[in-house]
Amino acid sequence: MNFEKKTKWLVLGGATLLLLLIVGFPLLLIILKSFIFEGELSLQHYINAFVSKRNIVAFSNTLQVGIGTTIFSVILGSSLAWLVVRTDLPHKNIFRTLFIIPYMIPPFVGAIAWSLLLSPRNGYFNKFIQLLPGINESIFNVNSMFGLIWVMTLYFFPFVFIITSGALERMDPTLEEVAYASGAGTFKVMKDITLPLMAPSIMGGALLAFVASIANFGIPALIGMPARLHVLTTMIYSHIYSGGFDGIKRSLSLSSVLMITSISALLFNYFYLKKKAFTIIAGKSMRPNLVKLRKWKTPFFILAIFVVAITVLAPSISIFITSLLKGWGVDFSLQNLTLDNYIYVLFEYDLTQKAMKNSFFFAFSSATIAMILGSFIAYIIVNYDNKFSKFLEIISTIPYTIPGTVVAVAMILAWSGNYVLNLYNTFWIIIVAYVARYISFSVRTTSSSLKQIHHSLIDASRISGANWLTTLKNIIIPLIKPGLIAGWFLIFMPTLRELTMSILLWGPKTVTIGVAVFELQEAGYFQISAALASLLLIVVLIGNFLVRLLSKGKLGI
Amino acid sequence: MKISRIFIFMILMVFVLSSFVIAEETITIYTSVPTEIMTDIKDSFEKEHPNIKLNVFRSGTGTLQAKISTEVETDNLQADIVWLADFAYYESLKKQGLLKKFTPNEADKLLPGFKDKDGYYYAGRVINMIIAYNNNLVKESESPNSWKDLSEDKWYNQCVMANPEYSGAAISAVGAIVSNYGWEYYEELRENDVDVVKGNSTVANKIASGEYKTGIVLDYMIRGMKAKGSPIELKYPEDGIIAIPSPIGIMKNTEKSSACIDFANYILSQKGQETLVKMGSFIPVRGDVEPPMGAPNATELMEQSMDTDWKYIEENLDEIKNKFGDIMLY
Repeated sequence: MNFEKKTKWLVLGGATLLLLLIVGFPLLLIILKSFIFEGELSLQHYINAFVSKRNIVAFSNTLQVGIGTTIFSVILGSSLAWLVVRTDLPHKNIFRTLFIIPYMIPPFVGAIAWSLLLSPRNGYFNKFIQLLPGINESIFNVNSMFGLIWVMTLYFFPFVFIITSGALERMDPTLEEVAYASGAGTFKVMKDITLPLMAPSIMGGALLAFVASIANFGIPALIGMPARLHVLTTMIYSHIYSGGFDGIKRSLSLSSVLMITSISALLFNYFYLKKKAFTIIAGKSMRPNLVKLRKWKTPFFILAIFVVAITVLAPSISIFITSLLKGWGVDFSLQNLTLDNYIYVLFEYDLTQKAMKNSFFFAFSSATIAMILGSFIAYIIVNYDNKFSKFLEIISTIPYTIPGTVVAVAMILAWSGNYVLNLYNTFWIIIVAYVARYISFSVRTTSSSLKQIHHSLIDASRISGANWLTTLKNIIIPLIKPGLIAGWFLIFMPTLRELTMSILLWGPKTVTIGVAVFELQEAGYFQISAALASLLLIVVLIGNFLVRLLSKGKLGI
Repeated sequence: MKISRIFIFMILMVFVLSSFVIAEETITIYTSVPTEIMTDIKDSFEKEHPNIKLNVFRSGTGTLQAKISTEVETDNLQADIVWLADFAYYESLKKQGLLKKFTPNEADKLLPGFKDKDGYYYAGRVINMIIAYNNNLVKESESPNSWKDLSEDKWYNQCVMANPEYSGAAISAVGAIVSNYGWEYYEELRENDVDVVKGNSTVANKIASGEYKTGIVLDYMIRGMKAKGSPIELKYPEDGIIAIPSPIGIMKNTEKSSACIDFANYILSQKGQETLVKMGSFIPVRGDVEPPMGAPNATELMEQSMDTDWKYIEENLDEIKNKFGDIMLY
C-alpha cells in the first residue's frame, strides 16, 4: 500500500473506530449491563424495576404524558399548518416563522416560564384572574398532569407543524380539485381527501413529538416533581442523585425501558408508515388552491395571534419581568425593578460565570469535534455503498433518537474507569456525550452536501495528480463548506442550552448554563435563574435567526 | 489554504478555551453551605490565605453524598474537603477509611459534642431545624408552637419542608422526629398536604414570598432573610429544635492536606466563626464568639434541642429515605 492509501485508510479507519468507541460501545454496554445481575445473565434488573410501585407509576405517567402531548400537538400543529399553507390567512409567512419559535426555546426555560405564570400559589396569571369579581382562588394548576401536557404541547407541537406544512405544500392539488369539481364542499374535501393524504406526515410528526416528550427531562422535573408526578427521566435522575453508584445500577433497567419505548415508536414509523408515505405526494412543486377564509378571516387571524401570544410572548415576558425583580414576591412597581440580577449573573456570581464559560467551551468543542468526525463518517457513507457503511449510518443516528438521559447513563457506565478511560467528573465526559448525541446532525448535513459533488470534479483532481488529501482539501472541503458551517451551528446551538445529559454528568468543575438555571430555579432563586434564562433565550434566538439569515432560510433549529 | 487555516484555528481555539476552564492549583470543597454565604466565606478565607484558591462545589448534602459515593466507586474522588449537613454521615466516611485524621489549632476551643472523639472531623457550624412562618400572613399568637401543631387543620396545604433525599439537615430532622414520634407523624403531615421541595433555601424563599404560610426550615436562613427585611419569623418549637452539627472533614487521599488544614483552622478560628456569624447568621461553635442578635448561644441551644440518635440515623439512612419517600414523595 502506498503512502496515500495508507493515510486514507488511517483517517477513515480512525474515524470509524472513534465512532464505534464513543457511540457504539456505551450503548451496547448499557443494554448488556441491564441483563446482568450480580455477575449472571438474568432479567432481575427488569423484575426489580417493575416490582417497585414508584417505577410502575412513573412508566404509566410517561406514557400518559407522551400520548397526551402527541394528541394535542397533532391537533394544534396540523391545524396551524393548514392555516398557514392552504388558506389566505393575512401575514401567513410571518406566522409561519413565529410558530416555529417555540422549537428554539429550551424546554426547561418554557417550564420555568409556565410555572411562573400558572403556579397554583402565586402564578402571575392566576393572580391576575383573581382581580376579576367572583374569583377568589387560583384556577389553573400547572403542577398537574394536565399542566405537564400543556407545557409539552406548546414546545413540541412544531414537530407536527413543520412536517405537516412541508407535506401540505408538496401535495398534489389535482386530487382536491377533482373533488371540488365533483361538487364536494370544503369540509368534505378536507375530511375525505386532504386529511387521509396528510395522515402519514402527521403521524410522522406525531411520533417525533411523542419521542421528544417522553425523553424530556426539564419540563417534568420543574413542573411534575413538585406535584409528586414522576416520569421515567425524573426517576432516573432521582436514582442517580440520591443513590450514588447503586442508584446508577438501579437506573439501568429504567433506562433500557425508556430506550425501548422510544425505539419502538420510531420503528413503528419506519416500517409501517414509510410504506404509505410516497405515492400520494406529487414530485413537482404545484401551487395548491388557497381556501378563502372570507368571514372567518378575522377570527382565524386573532386565533393565530393568540397562539403566538401563548407560545412565545407570555412565557418570554413572564421570565423577563421576573428577571428584573428585586426580590421574589415583591410587586411590579417601578421601584422594585432593577438590572441587578443581570449584573450579578454576569459579573459577580461565580457559578453562573463558570457556567457560561463552560457551556460556550463545551458547545464550541463538541460542535467542532462532531463536525470533523461526522464529516469523515459521511464521506464513508457516501462513497462506499455497502452493509458496513449502512451500519455506520445507523450507529450515528441512534444517540439522537434515544433519550439523552439514556446516553448520559451509558457514558457514565462506559467512561468512569471500568474500561481503561476514566472521564467521570471531567469536561471530556460531557463533550463526548454531546458529540455522541449530535453527531447525526453532522453526518446528515455533510452527506447531503457530499452527494451533490459530481464525481467528475474528483476525477479531474486525481487525473491532475492530486492525492487524496489534496483533493479533500482543495476540492471537497471548499465545496461542502456551507454545509459544514451550517452543521456546526446546528450542533453548537442545542449543546449550548443542553440540560438533560449535563444534569447527570456535571461535576465540581463542569457546571453548564442549563444546570445552573435548573439548580437556581430549584433552590428558589427565581429572579436570578430568570435573568440567566433570559440571557440564554436571547443568545439562542439571535443565533437561530442568524443561521436562518446566513443560510437564506434553509436552516435553523 | 484558507480551509486548513480555519481548521487549525478551530483546533487551537478548543485548546485555548480549555486552558481557561481547567482551574489553577486549588483545593476543592464539597459543601452544602448556601452559595451566597459560601462565596463570602471563600472571599474572606482567600484574603487571609492569598496562595490558596478555594473551588466550591455546592449542592444538597444528599446529592453530594451520592456524588462522593460514585466518585469513590469509580476511583475519581475530586473533593479535598467535605463540609456537609449530616453529622451521622461522617461516622460512615470514617469507617470507610476515607477521612484523614487531623488536629486543628484551636480544637480545644470547640464546645463539647462538636468534634469526633477520634479526631477525624470537627463541626464548623451548627444548624438547627426550626419552624418559620410568614408574619404578613400569620400573627405571632397564631403561629405553630410545636412540631405536632403542623398537622393541625389550619395549616392544611400551607406548610412546606425540604426533601431528605437532597438535604442532609432534613434527613437528620426526619431521623430525630421519627425516633421520637414514629412515622405516624409524617403520615399526619401527608394527610395535611404538607409539600416537599428540594432544599431549605427553597423552603425559606417560599415562605417569605407568601406561597406557604409556614414550614420546617433551618434557623440561620430565616435570621438572614429577616435581617434583609423579608416578612419571615422563626420559632423554636416547644418539643425541641433539632440541632445538627455540620462537620468539616478532610479526605484521606488529598494531596493538599496542609491547605485543607488551613481552611479548617480558619473556619474554627475566632475570626472565622465571627465571619460565619456575620455572613451567615450561624450560631458559633465556640463559646468566645457572640451569637447573632437575639439568638441563643450554642450551649443554650443544645439544652433546648431534641434528643437525636445519630447512630440510628447512620445505620438506617437508606430506610429512612425510603420510608419518607413512600409517605411523602410518591
